[in-house]
Amino acid sequence: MDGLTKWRPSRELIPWKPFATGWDPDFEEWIEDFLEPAGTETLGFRRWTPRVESYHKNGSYVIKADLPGVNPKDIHVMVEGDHLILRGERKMNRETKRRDFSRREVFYGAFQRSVPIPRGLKAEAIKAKYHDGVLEITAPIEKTHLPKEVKVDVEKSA
Amino acid sequence: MATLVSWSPMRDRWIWNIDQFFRDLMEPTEFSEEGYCTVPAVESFRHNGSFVVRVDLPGVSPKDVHLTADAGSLTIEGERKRSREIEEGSLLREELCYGPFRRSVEIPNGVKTDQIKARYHDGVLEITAPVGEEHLPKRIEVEIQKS
Repeated sequence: MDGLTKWRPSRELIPWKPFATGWDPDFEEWIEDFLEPAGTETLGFRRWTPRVESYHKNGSYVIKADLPGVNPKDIHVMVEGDHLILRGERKMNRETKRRDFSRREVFYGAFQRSVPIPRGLKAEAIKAKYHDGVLEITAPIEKTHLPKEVKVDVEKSA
Repeated sequence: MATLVSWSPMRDRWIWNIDQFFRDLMEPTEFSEEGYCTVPAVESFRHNGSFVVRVDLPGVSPKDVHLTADAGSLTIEGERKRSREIEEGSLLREELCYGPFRRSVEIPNGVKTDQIKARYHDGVLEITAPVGEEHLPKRIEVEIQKS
C-alpha cells in the first residue's frame, strides 16, 4: 500500500512544467484541475479513470469497475507488482463520431486505473468477466493471507 | 400596450444566463460526487432523421429503468441495485453508486414521442425516436448573384 501516487494524466501530457520543482503538488493539482476540469475533454486526448469497488468474497478478492459502452476486447487487465492495472479504451462508434450533438457528457477515449491488491493474491488465477457495462475481476487469495477473526477475551475490570 | 418597453435582447439574455447559472449551481451534475450517483451522464444527437439519447447506466437491470416522455422532455429514472453477494464488512473500496437515479433530457420539437424505442446494451441505454420531417434541419441553397 506504500508509495501509492495519485495518477495525474496532465503531467504526462504537458511538457512545460513551470511548477515541476519546489511547488506543493496539491497546489499544482489544483491549478491543473482548474485549467482542465475533469470530463471537458471528450475527444480522447485525456484519459479518464473508471470507478471501482473491491471486496472479499468466499476466500477470493473481487474488483468491479464501471465501464459502460466499452467493448470487452478493448479492456486489458494486468498485475504490476502489488497493483492491478485496468487499461483500455472506450471507442466511439460511427454515429457518435458525428458532430450533431445537443448534449455530450459521456467520456470516450483511453482509460486507466490502478488498484492496490491484497497480499497473497494468486495473480495467475485471475478471472474477469464483463456484463452490463461492469467488469468483474475475481482472484483467489492464499489461505494464510485471508482475514482472520481473532477471539479476544475482554475481562471486566473489578 | 399601456407602457412601451424598449426591446433589449441582451438584457433578456443576461437574465436568462443568470437564471441558468444558479440552476446549474443548485443541480447536481454528472461531475459532482452527488451527481455521479443520482444523475447519469447522457449524450444526445440527431442521426438519420431520428433523435438519439444515450445514457450510461452500468450495472443496472433494464427492468429497473423507467422512461417517460412529455412535451419537450424525456425522463429516465430507476435504481441500481447492489449485488447481494457483498457481505457486510467485506468491502475494501467503495466508489460505485447504488440507489435511485433520475435524469431529464430536453427533446427537440417534432420528436414523435409515441414511437420511442429503447434498448440496453453493455451498460448503455439507447433511446431512439423519429423526428417529424417538417422538423428536420433543412439545407437551403441560396444563389448569390454577381452584381
